[in-house]
Amino acid sequence: MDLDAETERGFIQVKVVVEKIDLSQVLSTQPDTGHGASVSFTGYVRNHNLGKKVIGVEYDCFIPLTENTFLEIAREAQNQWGQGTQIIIIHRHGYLNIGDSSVVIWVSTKHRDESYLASRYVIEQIKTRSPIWKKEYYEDHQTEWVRGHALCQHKHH
Amino acid sequence: MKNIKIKLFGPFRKYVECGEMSIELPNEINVKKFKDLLCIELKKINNDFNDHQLIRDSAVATEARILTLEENVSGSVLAVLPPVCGG
Repeated sequence: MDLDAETERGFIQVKVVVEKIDLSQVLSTQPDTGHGASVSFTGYVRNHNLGKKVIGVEYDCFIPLTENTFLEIAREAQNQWGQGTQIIIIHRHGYLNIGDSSVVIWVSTKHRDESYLASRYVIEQIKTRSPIWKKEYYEDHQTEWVRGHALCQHKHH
Repeated sequence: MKNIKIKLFGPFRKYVECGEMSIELPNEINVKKFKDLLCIELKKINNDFNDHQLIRDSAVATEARILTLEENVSGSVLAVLPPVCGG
């Protein structure tokens, strides 16, 4: 009998929120009893970028497509590291202060290696595929939309 | 002709602060031609708009997915998505 297959149940939770992310609530998520590891990643707003002092950032977001993209990325991670992989992705929207958490990813798998790999995969894909934009506010009262990655507009074969 | 609501994000808010505009489009128009038309319409709304590269680098999407350049636009709402930088 394949005990792993019998007991492991994957889930995916994704959302974009305006309010602060409750990190303790995310970290208290109970992994499947067949899982031996969970990894969490938190992105924070830092106080500098490219030599400029940053005092805050504003995230703009096309919410329906962003949540669809998060789901798609999480399903890809499950395809790669096991259908039982449990994944939570939460991203902020709106104005954030320095030190605020902008994104949280929580992954649980049977073994630690898969948790680290899946978590890394999810954040890297979010950065290049999710319709989210960041405006930086600087100490000198200037602001700037950060230029990022162009989304693919070509047909996949 | 059909009237389409356009949602604009990120750096486009420099030109259209509310992030929304409407455009009259032919019943059949692909994404590439839609983007040419968008350049003209944005210039009409805000004369400071000259960033055609931003339009070229932007994808066009519905709420469900990104459309390819050759695809005809469909639906009553389209989103114009400049290069992204989440996380």
